[in-house]
Amino acid sequence: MTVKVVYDVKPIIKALNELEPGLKKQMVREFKVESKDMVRDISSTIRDLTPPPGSTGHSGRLSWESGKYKSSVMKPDNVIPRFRASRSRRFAVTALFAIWVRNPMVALTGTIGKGSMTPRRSVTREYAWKDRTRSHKLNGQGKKLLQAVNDNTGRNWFYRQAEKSMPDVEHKVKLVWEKYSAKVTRRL
Amino acid sequence: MSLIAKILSKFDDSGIRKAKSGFDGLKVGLAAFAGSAAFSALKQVGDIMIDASKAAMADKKSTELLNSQLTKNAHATKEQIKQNNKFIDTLSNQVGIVDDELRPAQAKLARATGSVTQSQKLLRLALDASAVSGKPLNNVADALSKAFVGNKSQLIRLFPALKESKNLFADLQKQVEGAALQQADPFSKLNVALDNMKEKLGYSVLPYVEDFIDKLIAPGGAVDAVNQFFDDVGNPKTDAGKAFKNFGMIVDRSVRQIKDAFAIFGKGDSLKGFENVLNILSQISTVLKNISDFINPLVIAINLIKDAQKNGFLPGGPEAPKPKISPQKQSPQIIVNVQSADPKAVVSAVNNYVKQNGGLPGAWSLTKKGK
Repeated sequence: MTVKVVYDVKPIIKALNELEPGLKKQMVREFKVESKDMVRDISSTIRDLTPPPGSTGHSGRLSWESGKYKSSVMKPDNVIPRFRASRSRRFAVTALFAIWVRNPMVALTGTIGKGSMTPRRSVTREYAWKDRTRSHKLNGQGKKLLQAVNDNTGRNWFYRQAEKSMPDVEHKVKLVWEKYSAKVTRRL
Repeated sequence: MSLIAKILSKFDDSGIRKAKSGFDGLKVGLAAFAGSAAFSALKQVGDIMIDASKAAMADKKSTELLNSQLTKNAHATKEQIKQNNKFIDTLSNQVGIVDDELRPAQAKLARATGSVTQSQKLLRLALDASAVSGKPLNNVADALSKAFVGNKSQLIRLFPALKESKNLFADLQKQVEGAALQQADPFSKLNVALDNMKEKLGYSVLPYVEDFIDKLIAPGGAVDAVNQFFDDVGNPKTDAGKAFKNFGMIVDRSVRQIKDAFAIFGKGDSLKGFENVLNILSQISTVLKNISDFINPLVIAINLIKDAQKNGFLPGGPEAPKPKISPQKQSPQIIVNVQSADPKAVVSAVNNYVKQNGGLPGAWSLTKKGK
């Protein structure tokens, strides 16, 4: 998946608001309009998924119906477009506009089962336990979860679904960005 | 966990630059702080805290000692002990003597009298007597406690006027009453006040210090960790022990190989072998020196001979280049050197010439040389 990168975001946004207060808000609204179909498609895909065994019938962190994201309850089809212009202290290239799936169990199944399905080790790494360290044998639980997700839910569904409409949405969003940035580029 | 599908990304490295400059700034700041007045002030504060906690520890220890003495010897109740602590504090402030000196003196008196009240009275008397006599409080308290049980000599030595006294303590009180309060130095009082303040500060820090020490010496604490490391090093079953054992084996093997190598020269004795190797090396060095001493003049002589040959003083030098003779100028002569012009020798020489050259030149002559 190729990523379109734009530069000088902060000064452009600042100049936009100086030019006319509310322009940035308007731009973000247009971004969301352009990505609406993609969001809807991903949400409907999630609604069609079969929850992995053990993820339903409770309200824990990894609940399918009401998973917790930063102590907020998230429905499985909670998919949002998000605009973030804040900078990162670790990465130079970060998402300016992205689609987020925040239910942890749904997110887990979105990327789960990409590996060979064969555990790399038979015992865990050592971890701290009661003033000492210990490790334990792997009981195959993880492998069974992967198998269950593969059999019932389907693996790597999120990015496959996103990639279907991504080029089109990317292009449209980039056009919106260029439209707004052109308003202030001359001034910059 | 969340899933993110990036639609549009941005490039902004200001965060990374800020983080980097922040880190550099932190380093500079730490370096500057380490050399700053703030750091030295902080260090002083730390020192004061340590002093305070030490003073508090000493105070706590002396208080516990006195309290245990009062409980054991005077059967003091908790309330009495509490009141006694207040009495010591008040007395200390009044006379300007630190409580750490008063408590051992009172403990001594309590052991003799077996009463809290009596020991308090005698402590006051001891303070007055000490102020008058100029003797240390501990000594006076010792004398008083002995006098209380019937041994008056030490007290009489301090106060000879009491020799004829029938009521020692009453007479002594008449002599010295109020002296301690009168002679209380304002600076001593200030010192006591400051000391008490320091102790109070120390008491506030003490729980943390004790907690720290407890954690340090607790099972699994830093001390245990260090001990565990040394235990592990000594135990070949642990990783540290294995590493240390391997290191030791390598060193041992190397030393053994060196010893074996030297043993070859010492008929199995490595030490003797080492000595022999040293002797051999020393002899080789001497031989090399002798050879060098011999070769040096030889080289000089060879060089001189070479120079002589080069300059023509000796035969065997490089041959002088022969002048080129053109064929036209070649003389058709055969020069035969014969002794006394012996005709046979001449004929023989000519024959040889003919054999070698295939004939005689067209015109030739014989030149007679020699006698």
